Amino acid sequence: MHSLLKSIKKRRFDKSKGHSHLSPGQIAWKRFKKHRLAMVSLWVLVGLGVLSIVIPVISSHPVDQANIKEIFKESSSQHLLGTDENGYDVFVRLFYGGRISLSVGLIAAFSAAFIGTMVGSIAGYFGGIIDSFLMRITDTMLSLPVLPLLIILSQVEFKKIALGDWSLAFIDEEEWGKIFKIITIIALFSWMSVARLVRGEVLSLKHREFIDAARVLGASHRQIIWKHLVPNSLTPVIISTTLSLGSVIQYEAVLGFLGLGIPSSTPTWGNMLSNSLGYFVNAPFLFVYPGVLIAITVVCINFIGDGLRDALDPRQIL
Amino acid sequence: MPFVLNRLIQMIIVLFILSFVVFMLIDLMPGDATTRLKMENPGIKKDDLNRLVKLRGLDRPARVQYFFWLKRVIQGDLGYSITYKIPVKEMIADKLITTLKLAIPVLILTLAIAVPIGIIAGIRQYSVFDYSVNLLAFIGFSVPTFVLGLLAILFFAQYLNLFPPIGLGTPENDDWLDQVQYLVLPVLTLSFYDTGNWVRYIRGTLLEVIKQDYIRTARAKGLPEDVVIVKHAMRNILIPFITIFALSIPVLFSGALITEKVFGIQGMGHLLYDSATSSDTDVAMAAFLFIAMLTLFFNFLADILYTVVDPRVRIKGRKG
Repeated sequence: MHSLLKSIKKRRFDKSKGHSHLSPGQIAWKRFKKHRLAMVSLWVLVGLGVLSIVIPVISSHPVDQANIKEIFKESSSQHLLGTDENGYDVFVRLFYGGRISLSVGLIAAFSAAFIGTMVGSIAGYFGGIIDSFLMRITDTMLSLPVLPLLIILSQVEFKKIALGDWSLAFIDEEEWGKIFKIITIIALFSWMSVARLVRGEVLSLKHREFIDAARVLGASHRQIIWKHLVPNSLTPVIISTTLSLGSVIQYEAVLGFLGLGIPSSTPTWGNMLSNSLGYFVNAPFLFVYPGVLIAITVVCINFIGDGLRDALDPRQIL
Repeated sequence: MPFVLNRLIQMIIVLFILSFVVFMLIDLMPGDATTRLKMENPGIKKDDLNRLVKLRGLDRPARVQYFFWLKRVIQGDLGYSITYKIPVKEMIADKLITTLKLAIPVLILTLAIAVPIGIIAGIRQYSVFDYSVNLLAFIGFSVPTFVLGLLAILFFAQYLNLFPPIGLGTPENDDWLDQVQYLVLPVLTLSFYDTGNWVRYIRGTLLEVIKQDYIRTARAKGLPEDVVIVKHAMRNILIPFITIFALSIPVLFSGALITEKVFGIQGMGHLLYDSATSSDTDVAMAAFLFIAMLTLFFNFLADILYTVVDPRVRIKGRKG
């Protein structure tokens, strides 16, 4: 009786102290909310995302029709931020560009996270030769000069690659093919840190009891990796992917700025910036807007990544 | 020693594979060298052109051309620029000096600012100073350098007219002060970015070190706080510091590419960009390999230094 009372008291005590009734996710969210800059950044990013989806839809200004009569208009009630060198409404085009820049960034970051998780979990799980082979590739990739390689890769013409009946010419010809190319080459150089993190987690997890239990129950390698190891090593993946999203968006913008990214007629922030450089002196705000948007986005993403790290790092006590 | 040798061999293999892959990729870029040759030499006779193509092996497939190129490079001949019609060797030296003019002030300025600020922010964790430094550092490494550079040109060169916007030195003016004026904006731009990285790094390491037992011991035996920081904490920051320092040098070269492009400075990065976008293969290969070698070498050096300076890593390395 006494011990029961004690345990009830203890539970009460825990409750009053904080989060025995909260799930790990709720605890993380609570911690995340304490990081004010991360919260502000989250709202700013959500706002940017929503505006990018909504504004091109509800706006009366077409995003794909140039209007030569209305070039370089000052900002007015009709054109909130004025018009650019082709007579496009800058405000609408900024958010239309946001759609592409943000989705390219998201897709590239997620692909990189996927590749990294695959490589890391396979290397960590199987160990031995597979591990040293995969990790050697990872370390080598990490030590390469990324930007020069991106510049060279972004210019490759895929129609020159002969693959028998297969033709890769669509990558050069279609707009989506070029977007695909940029996403692929950015993802190709962004998966390594995730791979290393996942490998580390898997190495520490794979001799734990629940993995042994799964193995004894007859789970296949694939089931053990995907159902047990990967879900349990997601925390570093989430943090690292968030942080890499910032650099991925920067890469896309840099390639756009260098004129090597997605074709310049497609509005992305990088392209808008690069296109407006010709009018640097007379219409400087044409590059200031997309430039500031890129900067804000990357700053916000990095703050969110920082907040996530604080919130999800189990070593930290609240 | 076997570790060093192992890494050295690995580095050389990577360099060979990388050079082959990049050579093949350059071949896949728009335009080809034969057309470029014809374009750059409009008056050339057909026979001469054919002879030149044969001489350079341009009629062979790229993988064969690669071995021609490799043979020449090993013999010390980096080739010949189609665009500028001078040997690549002469170009590289010139561009390298330009890049160094940008990189060395950036390195000095960054460290001079970041080291003290990072340490002070670390010692006074969660103070107002720490928060503002953190915020600024975050913005520093988050804002892309080309956005920052363009904004700097707009405000300081266009509106305030304080510094010249682009280039490196007024033509016909050999005064070094003149060049310094041109360097102010690019150096500040690049430093702002690097300082952000360094400050966060130094602060983070210091916080890690301060938690250690030996720091508590030093405090417990009654050492004054400044002695604890300078003699005990700082020394241990030096270990990762050396590594990061080695890793940051190649980044200065390849990372300066964007800054050089924004400010129209004709350095290595600019050279790489120009040659890679105009199928000037010999130049592009030389510029790329220079940056790649630098990157790989300093990575190698960082690994070696790490094991030399920190005996704990050596033991760990042997185990796994």
